[in-house]
Amino acid sequence: MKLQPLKTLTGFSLATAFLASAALPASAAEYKIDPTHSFIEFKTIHLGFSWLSGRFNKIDGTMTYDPAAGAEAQKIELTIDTASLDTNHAERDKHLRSADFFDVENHPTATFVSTGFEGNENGGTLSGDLTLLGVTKPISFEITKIGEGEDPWGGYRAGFEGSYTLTRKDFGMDYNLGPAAEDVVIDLMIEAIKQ
Amino acid sequence: MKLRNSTGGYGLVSKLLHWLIALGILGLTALGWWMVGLSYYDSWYNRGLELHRALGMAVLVLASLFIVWKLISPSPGLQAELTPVEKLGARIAHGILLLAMFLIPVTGYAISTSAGSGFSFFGLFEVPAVIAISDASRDLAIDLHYYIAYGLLAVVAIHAGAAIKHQFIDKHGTLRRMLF
Repeated sequence: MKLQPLKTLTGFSLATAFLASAALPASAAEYKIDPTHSFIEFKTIHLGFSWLSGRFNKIDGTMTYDPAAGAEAQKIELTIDTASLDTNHAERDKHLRSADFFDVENHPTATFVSTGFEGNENGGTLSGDLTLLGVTKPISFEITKIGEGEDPWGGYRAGFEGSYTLTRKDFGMDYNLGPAAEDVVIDLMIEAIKQ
Repeated sequence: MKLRNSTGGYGLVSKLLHWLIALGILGLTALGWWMVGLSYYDSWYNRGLELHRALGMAVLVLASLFIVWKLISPSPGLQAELTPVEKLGARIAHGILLLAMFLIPVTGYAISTSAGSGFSFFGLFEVPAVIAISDASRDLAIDLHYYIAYGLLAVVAIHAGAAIKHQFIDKHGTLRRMLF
């Protein structure tokens, strides 16, 4: 008698799981960025002597990753909360959030929307539109797959990395940090979970 | 010239402090306005701020001496020629000037030491940090420092304008009271 409610619960759970899986599209190539295991970092040369690096703590995005569907079917969209930037120095972060740099009040997000991909399941060249400070520019850069597969908890994950070097003034970010700091390296480390 | 004030006029100490503080207020406001417009790569980006902090502390010391001297020295009082309304206006303006010459350097000190570390006084010694304050308090101190400093310019203009009016229009010989 005591086991009865448990049996009912199990039956209900199985039915729910069945219905949920039936609702999934036939080709399950849609991924969601795992923000706790994805990092978008930036670094620039400080005065010509060393790296100054920081990261965006709040990022979001989706990805279509299905090698069987061909290179042109691969897509990624990333959204960065610019106010979440963090260089481990509150005063500098405040300055970076100001109109001198990211102007987060007027431009709370930066986005990357892919427009094309050339390569295979292990990586290739990703093209897309980068929007920063309201300025949209087409860019392309190399990405590499780090790995993909089932995680220990029943999910399926894939991870990529890539790097792009932008010139700040191309996006209107022209505050003078000296000649060595005109370019910024953006490092992407993206882990996504299949939906 | 006498050092101390008398009921008949201001002494050397009061006059000297008045003009040094006046110079300090105008110079620091100009320096502050100029230095916040500098970009990171400018050679004065750090030096301007260091100079502003040290000069600000110097003016705070002068303002303290000014108040102490005002309290222990006889006061010549306002000019008898002034109308009651003019006397009231002068007292209000003087009150604001005295208050601001403390509030501006004190908020500046709070901003400079908000992270809990001190700063150098012209390389001679370290001005210690007494308390570390939160980011929100720091932002408040920045706003106060900014608005009081620029607002004070209006009061300085009224104070100086009134003295000039009483000198040249009313012929009260006002400026002579503060000149050497």
